[in-house]
Amino acid sequence: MKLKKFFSGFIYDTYGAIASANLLICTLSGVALAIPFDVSDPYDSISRFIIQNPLAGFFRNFHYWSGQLFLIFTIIHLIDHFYRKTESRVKPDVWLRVTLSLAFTFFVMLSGFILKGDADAMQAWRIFGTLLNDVPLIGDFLAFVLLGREGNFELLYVHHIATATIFLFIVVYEHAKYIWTKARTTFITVVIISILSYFFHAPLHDNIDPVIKGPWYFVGLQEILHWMPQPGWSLLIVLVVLLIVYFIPRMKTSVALSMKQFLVVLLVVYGGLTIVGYFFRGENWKWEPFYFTEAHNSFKVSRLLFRVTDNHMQEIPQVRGRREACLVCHENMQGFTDSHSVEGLGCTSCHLGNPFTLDKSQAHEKMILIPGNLANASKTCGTADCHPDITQRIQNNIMTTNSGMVTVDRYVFNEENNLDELAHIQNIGHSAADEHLRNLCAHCHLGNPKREFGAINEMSRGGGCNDCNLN
Amino acid sequence: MINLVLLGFIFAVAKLARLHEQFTSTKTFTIDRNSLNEGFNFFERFIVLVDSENIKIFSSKCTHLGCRITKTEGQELVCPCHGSHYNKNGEPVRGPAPRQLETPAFEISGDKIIITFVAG
Repeated sequence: MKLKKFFSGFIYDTYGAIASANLLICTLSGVALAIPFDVSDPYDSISRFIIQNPLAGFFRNFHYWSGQLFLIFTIIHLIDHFYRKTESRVKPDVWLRVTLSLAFTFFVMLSGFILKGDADAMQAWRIFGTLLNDVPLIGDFLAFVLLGREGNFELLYVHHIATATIFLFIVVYEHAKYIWTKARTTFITVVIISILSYFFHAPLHDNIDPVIKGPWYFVGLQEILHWMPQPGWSLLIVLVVLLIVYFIPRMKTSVALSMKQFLVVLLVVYGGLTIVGYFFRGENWKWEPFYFTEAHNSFKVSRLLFRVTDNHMQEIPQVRGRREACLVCHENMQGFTDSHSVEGLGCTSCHLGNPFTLDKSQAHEKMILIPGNLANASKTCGTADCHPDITQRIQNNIMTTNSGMVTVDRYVFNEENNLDELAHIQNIGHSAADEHLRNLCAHCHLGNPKREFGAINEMSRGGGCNDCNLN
Repeated sequence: MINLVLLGFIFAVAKLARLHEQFTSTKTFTIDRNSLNEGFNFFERFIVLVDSENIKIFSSKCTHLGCRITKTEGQELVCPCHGSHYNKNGEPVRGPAPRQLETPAFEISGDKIIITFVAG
């Protein structure tokens, strides 16, 4: 009870009212966001206003956080009604639409996620489309009507800003009998969202990071789907949950209580799966116990800087479909081969950092200064669009291991009898043969990291991929 | 009553969608053979495997949930969304993918590889 009292101190209105306030704020901020947003190229328009238009960036964050809070408080609102056993007060046909509105809530959230148009969004679009296609008889129709054709965001945009939103407002009005929330509730909600929006940014994938994840509320589903060769069955789980919610007001009290407990257990399990998917799954959905150190990176999009400089007025160069604000300062970089030219690759493909800001310190955050070093190559040269297979096999290449040289050298020094023995230059010791290698060949192998900047020539050895291919 | 109106609206949309769905068309995608490297070559819709003199073409759509496969791990194609792995024949070897990658129709004409596919 103490815990309940503690939490109730933070709740400034009913859960439903807070959810409604968030819906209202989300919708109004969406209207503002519609001005700079270009549905024909969402990723580009979002990138541009994050870089050049801090106010639009703020509205985007505002839209994002009000949306997330709307979802969270809608679920809490439902649980609260189930807990207080007040769901039976709602008329049956209204309750039907309330139940449907749960699906619409997730749809409006997911469509917003897809409307970023980044790598995560495009994969989510395909997954959702394939899942809907699995629905018997009407699958094709559902996928087409809800999502439209892949690559064309227009229909999805219409559903996001109109169809689903209007439906949600109708349902809110039908069961709550109001649209405008109290001034105090709205004000406090605006303050909370403003704080969140200033410090935590709505995610935008840089299309370089190889990790692909859905929105946080579907990461649990992504984990479930990872274990399901026939993923269409997951829709049955969703249908069963909606049917239970719909029939709970008509059930006997004892059965309804059991069903409510079942839903709570399901929610807790799903929450656990969400934590697993969000914090412990990395590239290619592999189990990575330490991925949680990277998980917050999706919110790393640059801090809002409302000071507009001359740089903000310039056209931001676009490379490989991505705005590269780095090139505003680092123009006319030279010395690369044609295939690694700045015009062809930009900066962040190799050096990472943050391409969506004109602020030096933010742009240089988490940069990889010498991308060819083999320790970093999988994140730079080896990303999906470039050389994913080479960076894997280069680790066992004789230019990396120097295996033959090591073995022959040891053989000559009578330290090795078998010329077929495999060795790695990184593992050499301090025997006479190995010291000989250290004095002559060891600094040439590809695995030797380059630590100094500057032109690559016959005097600068090591540096992995850079050693041969950059210029 | 409102539910009936909604149902009628959905039927109207369904009819419209069915008419629109008919606008799918067969398209071609041409690749310059000289631009291909040994191993896997990734394109938006397709993956071209050059293995010595042999060329194999797969759809880049994962058979599990339709994600675009964009990378390899070792000698295997790997889906970034749920971790399905496919071998050089496009057969699933690990992860949730239930079946082989689709192979589109293609022909080689001189230095050109012409792939035919249905665009939805």
